[in-house]
Amino acid sequence: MGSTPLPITLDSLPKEILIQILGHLPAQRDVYATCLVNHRLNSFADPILYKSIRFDQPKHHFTFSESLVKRPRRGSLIMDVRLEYPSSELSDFIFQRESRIDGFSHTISTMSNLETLEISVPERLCHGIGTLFNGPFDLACLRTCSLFYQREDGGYWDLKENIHIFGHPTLETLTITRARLDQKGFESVEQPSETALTTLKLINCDINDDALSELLLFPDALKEITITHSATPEPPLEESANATMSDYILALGSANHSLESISIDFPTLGGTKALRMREFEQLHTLELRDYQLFGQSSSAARLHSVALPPNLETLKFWGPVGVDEEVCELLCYEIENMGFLARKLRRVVVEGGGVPEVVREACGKAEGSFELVVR
Amino acid sequence: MSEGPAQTIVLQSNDNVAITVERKVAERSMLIKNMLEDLAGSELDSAIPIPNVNESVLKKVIEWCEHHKNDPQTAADDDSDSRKKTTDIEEWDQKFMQVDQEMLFEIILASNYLDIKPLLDVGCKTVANMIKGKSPEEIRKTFNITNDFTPEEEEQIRRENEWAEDR
Repeated sequence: MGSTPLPITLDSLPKEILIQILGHLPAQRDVYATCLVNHRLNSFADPILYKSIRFDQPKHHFTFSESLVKRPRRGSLIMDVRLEYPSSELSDFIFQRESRIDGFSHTISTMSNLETLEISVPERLCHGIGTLFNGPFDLACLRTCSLFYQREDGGYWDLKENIHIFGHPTLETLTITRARLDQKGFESVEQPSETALTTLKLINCDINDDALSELLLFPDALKEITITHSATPEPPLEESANATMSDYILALGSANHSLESISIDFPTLGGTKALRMREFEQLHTLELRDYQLFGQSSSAARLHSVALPPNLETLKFWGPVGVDEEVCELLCYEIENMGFLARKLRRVVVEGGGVPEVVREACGKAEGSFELVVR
Repeated sequence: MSEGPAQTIVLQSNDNVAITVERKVAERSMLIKNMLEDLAGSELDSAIPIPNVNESVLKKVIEWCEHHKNDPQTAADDDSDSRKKTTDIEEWDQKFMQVDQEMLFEIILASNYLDIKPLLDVGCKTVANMIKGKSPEEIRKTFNITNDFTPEEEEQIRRENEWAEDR
């Protein structure tokens, strides 16, 4: 009590207040600078800096790996990590320090409180990571994960070694880029108890549809799935080379009780069968190409017509639409009868590419109240 | 008191100066507000001692409370990241915080003790703004802090944290 004898300075402020001040710093470089001011500020700024890390050069990762020897607890401070460096930067470095490569997955295993893990690095660094997803004490808080293991030859990396990511109990959002999985991919995995996964994105992957169907049995309630690939997949697809859209939708059927949104931008998925999606009762958004919904023209007779999800609200076609004449005819017919085929439909969206006049006319005549949006 | 029960109250600084304040203004301090609630019904005939705050700082804090007396009370512990990460400060508060460093830290300590969260927040943001964009050496100069690292320690920290240098 009484008057303060010494003038107050920044580093004499109480710990809680200093932490609050440092928490307001907008950029990591400001926290970085504060770490270098003196010992006391360093002790508060360091944990803030290491909450969210992003290494875009291998040497930074290796330095971090070394610092763990002296500060083993630093790993547990980290909540978000993003590792992103291309093969080219690695090659010289890696040969000089071959012995330390195993440190890569080790450093990740020290991040016991990690919530977000984004990996986009050369494949040969990643061999130890797969087992982390299977360990009960590793990455126990993980909620968001993105995996892209870059192969030197530009090929698809084999998801098999990392397949346990699909059995991770707390993971909610998973993005997989340029991976492949064959039909047997799953034999090694025990059926886990239901997982928390709600959002799955497969970007430029080559995945067997039967394997996908099995993967999707794991989540308790998958809500959103996005599958994309380019118009001319490079390298050519192997596992999913003969898959049709109808095969993929059948695979998604594993999650038909919970899926709310399906977005498939994968032009080479063909097939002549119209999609039957009555079982997808929760689905409100469907995005695909018109020939994938109705089935491409063929000499064989159509055995059945399309069956839309009963509660669909938004139907989006990646343009152009109506290029195939038969598909165009079916599309017009479908639109005119949309009122009772999909009672809750609000919007039909065409993204990129024109809309034939007949389709617009059909929209004018349509029963029910939905709008046509062309972007 | 002729104006009815406790429309104003008296605060006493640690250098024994009594300051009369409208009750509503003083209640920006959760410490005082809770104290008055605990005393509800009993006669409040003596000054409330504020042992950690001197007259000039207390007056400055009251000036802030006066200006902000009609602000909506912030929801308890609104620690959302969007609010935390910004260093935006409204104009009046910016002017209010144009004081020497000694006073700035005194205001921060007083608002922490008196539990006036929005004022503490403005104070901390003001200091963060003074740190923002500066090099370690410039920060030391600004706040008159002595470098207690050995050159080796400094070099090691620099190397370990290099990944964050330009972010």
